[in-house]
Amino acid sequence: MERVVYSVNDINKYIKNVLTTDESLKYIYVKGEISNFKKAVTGHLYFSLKDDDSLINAIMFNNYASKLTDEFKSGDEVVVLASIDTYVPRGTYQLFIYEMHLEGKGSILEKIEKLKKQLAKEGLFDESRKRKINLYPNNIGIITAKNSAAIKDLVFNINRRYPLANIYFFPSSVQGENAPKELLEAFNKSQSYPLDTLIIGRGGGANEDLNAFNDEALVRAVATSKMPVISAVGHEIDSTLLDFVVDKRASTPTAAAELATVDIREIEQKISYILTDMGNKINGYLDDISLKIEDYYQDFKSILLNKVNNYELRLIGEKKRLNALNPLNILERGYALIEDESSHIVTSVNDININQTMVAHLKDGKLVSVIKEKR
Amino acid sequence: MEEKIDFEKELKSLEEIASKMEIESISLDEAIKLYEKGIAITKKIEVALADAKRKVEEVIEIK
Repeated sequence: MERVVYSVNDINKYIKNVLTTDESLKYIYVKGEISNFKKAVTGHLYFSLKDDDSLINAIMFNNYASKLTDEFKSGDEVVVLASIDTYVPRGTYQLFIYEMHLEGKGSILEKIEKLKKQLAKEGLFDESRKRKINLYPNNIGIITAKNSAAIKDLVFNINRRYPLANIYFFPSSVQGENAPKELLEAFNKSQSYPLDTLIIGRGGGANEDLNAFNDEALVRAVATSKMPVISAVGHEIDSTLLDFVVDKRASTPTAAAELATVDIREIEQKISYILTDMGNKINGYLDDISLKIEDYYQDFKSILLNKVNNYELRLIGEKKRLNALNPLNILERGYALIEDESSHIVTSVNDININQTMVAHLKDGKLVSVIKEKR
Repeated sequence: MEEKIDFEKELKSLEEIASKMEIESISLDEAIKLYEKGIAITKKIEVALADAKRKVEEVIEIK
């Protein structure tokens, strides 16, 4: 028996036929949440519509899209009027959209909002719970994807700023179904390490790629972290629940590295300033001391000279006194000093008697004589 | 050669000599002896003073 072998193109064309001729796939209303929304320069809108269980690609060309009155974005819950269409070269099918309306918030976002309120009520977002980050960490833990730009950025910047820190890497998927579980496992592992700080994050991504960081179990666990946590879930505007429960949040891995460490160059600069200040202070003190020594020199000089002068004055005084008492002074003038036999000075005629011997001292010698008479 | 003398002591000795000489009953010989002693002490002090002065000048000029 001959078997029939079709080409791929045959198959795709057949499917196209089946889908596009099925009336129940034409002009139908479909509701779902927009994800991966892109608006091209041409005005064409490309996105997916999804619900909890599955996803379908969608396209809305400019001729229809330009009639829209609302702005749409990922996360919006919408109802569309569309037909199923196929793209033969790729073997894909999609919703070809004619009209689109907003239908309240996406359910996923709703769930997150509800959880956010609940966690806030439990106090897990309180400012008072947030701890200060040690900027001189010995050990930093990082939870992010292997080989990602995030881990490369973090390692590069941490090493640049504070090379003393040891980095412990706990790799994990950061998107997809397994991400929440892997993140939680990585987190639990990190708790048994002596880390000063834990950084959890990923590089920038479109809104739903961050959903792993909204996972309740993960967020609740991180709230119990032994060490301070920095979230580095790169995003444009919106936050994930993880951002609220951590001690510090950064918008990029580079920013996280900055929050987690000092920059040694700043420290070096500070040290340089301090040394200069110290140098100046010391010079100032030395100058002061120089001046004081100058003063002391002057004082010592005065004191010493004073003492010497005082002695000199006293000496002059004593010399004068001594000179005045010089017994020989008066003899120079021709006066005589009379002494009796026992060498007592005779100052009155009554001090000596007739026939007694007297000695007369003259300036150049003595004369011995006997008293002949008194008058 | 400097002799270290006690200025206070020497000046006091001078004063004592002068006081002794002022006593009227003192003999001429004693007076002369005291006088000579006084002159000697005076000279001693003068020499020491000159030395001290010189030393002070030296010290204060050192900077």
